[in-house]
Amino acid sequence: MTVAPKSLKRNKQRKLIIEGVIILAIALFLALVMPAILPEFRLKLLGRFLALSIVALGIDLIWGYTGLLSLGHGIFFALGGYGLAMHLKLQLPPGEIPDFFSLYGVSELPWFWKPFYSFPFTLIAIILIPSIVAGLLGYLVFRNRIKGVYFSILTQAALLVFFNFFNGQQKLINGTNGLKTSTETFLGMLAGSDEAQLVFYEFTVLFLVVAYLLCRWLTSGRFGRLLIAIRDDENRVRFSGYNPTGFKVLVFAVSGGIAGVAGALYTVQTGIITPSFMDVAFSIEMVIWVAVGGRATLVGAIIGTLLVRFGRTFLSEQFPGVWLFFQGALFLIVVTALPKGIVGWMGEWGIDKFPSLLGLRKRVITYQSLEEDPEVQKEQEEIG
Amino acid sequence: MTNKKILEIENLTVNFDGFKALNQLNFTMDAGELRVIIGPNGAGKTTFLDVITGKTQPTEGRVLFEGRNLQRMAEYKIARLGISRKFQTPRVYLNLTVRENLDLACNRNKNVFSTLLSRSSSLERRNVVSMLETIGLEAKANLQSALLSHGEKQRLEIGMLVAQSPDLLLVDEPVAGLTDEETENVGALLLALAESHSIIVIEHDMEFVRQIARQVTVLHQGSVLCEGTMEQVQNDPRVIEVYLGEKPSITSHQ
Repeated sequence: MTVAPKSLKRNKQRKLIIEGVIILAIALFLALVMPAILPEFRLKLLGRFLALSIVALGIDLIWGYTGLLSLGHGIFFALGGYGLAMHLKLQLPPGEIPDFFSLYGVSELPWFWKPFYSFPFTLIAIILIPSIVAGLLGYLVFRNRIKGVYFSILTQAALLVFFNFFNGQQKLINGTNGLKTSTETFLGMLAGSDEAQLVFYEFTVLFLVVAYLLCRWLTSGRFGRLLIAIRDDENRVRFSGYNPTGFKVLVFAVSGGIAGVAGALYTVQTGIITPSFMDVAFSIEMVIWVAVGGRATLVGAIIGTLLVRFGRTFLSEQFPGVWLFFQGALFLIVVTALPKGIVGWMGEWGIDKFPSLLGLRKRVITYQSLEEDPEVQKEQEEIG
Repeated sequence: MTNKKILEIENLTVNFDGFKALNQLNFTMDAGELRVIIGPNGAGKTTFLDVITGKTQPTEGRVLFEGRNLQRMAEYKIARLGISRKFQTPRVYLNLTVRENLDLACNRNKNVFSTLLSRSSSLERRNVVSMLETIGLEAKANLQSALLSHGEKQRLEIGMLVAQSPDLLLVDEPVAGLTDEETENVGALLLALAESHSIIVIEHDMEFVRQIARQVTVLHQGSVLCEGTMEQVQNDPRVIEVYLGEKPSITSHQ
């Protein structure tokens, strides 16, 4: 037996090239064609949903691959959003501070606002602050071998802590009113204007591609297989000489960073960030997107988000008031009928059965026990 | 084979809230030895492995592996020192292929970043291939391991242990639930591995013990009852009593 069969390798390469071409085509379609054919309102919706699908990618990484169900991604999402919103709020003539401070009798800018004058710092902070918070939280939790339901509860508790803190701090970040970004100027444009929104949209597409490639890289190869191994049998991993804590902290931090970027992009396209971004229901909804699309399939996270969100828009336009029932029903259907989500189901059932539904059959198996037996196949290959 | 001691265990006691799973246990083993540990249910066999691998901390006593004290060491560090363990039920990564399972085990550098950044070296890939041959799963190398039979999973897990290139293999009931033929296969595999590794096997199946055993240790109520060849152990009246309960009278040591 050769070390790595050449045909296998070539096959892999070809698959990678095809995947790359598809990604490029979709990205170009989103970036160039969509703005031309969609009305501004729809484009804005698409941009926001694409931003949300970035956070879904992060959740897929930590939940789908590593098996840790985080119900607290709203924290990282909102931290990224607040970072960019603070920078926008500081686009003022020197000496002035954002107007909401005067409502609460604050005359000096709180210290932690000051670094956000700098645009490069803001960009780094949008990724790094959520990552660090996630990494710290993850380290404390994973070091003590907390997992499963307890991990989920802890992340939700952390979410509530952040939610209440941000809600109560009028003097620091305008509390429950949040920070409005649409009326600020950004790179010489009004952030709420159509040109600026188009820029934000294009950046969303770009970051979606970057986030996808990052997740794709992390989940392929040995590292990705180890994540799956941790998900399936953490003790076995430990007795094989790996320390799962480090791997889980890294993945959680990356996932948090991705959520931060998503939050920043979502904020500027929504025009405001409030502590409601850290609403418990919203973080749970993020998990639903991934479940609907299919866990451990990165494409599924994106498709799930777009589907649920556009479904919501469509249904709430047609049947206002009952959307929440549909959302609940959707989750129930997915959990009971499609436990692997839409993409998982396609991979398992659809791809194989669709051709035969259309009357096309790829190959008749006469003796399944023989033709699908790898030992027999190998012998066949060797004989010629 | 040298007569260096690979494992020395002194006065080991594990106390679970008053229940002594292990009680003043003393045990030594030479490098290169294949040792079978038997004992009735609840004798403390699995706890014994738990202590060696760091899963359970002893209440008293110590474990020396190649002269190093394993106390308070994390499981993964003990594994990196060269002790690998097979669990009772086969525990392989069901969603990965056979080859990927072995590849994860034989990774030389198991830090987070080297796992992320480095690719498997040609040496590691050769190890994987030769391990596939040893465990007889070459044809199924690219098959998801969930699709393997129970016996194949057992062999794969043993292969994963060996791929870590350990000095000491701990094998917990490798033939539980296997057919006779598969039992023979696993036995032959263990005997082949014993050429170059020290192995401790825990087993219930007496047929199988007879097939592979050279030295047998009998555990009973958390201590070593007796040690010797299969022949000696089988004829030891204390062992017969423990297993068959010939003298059900209550004696002073109970």
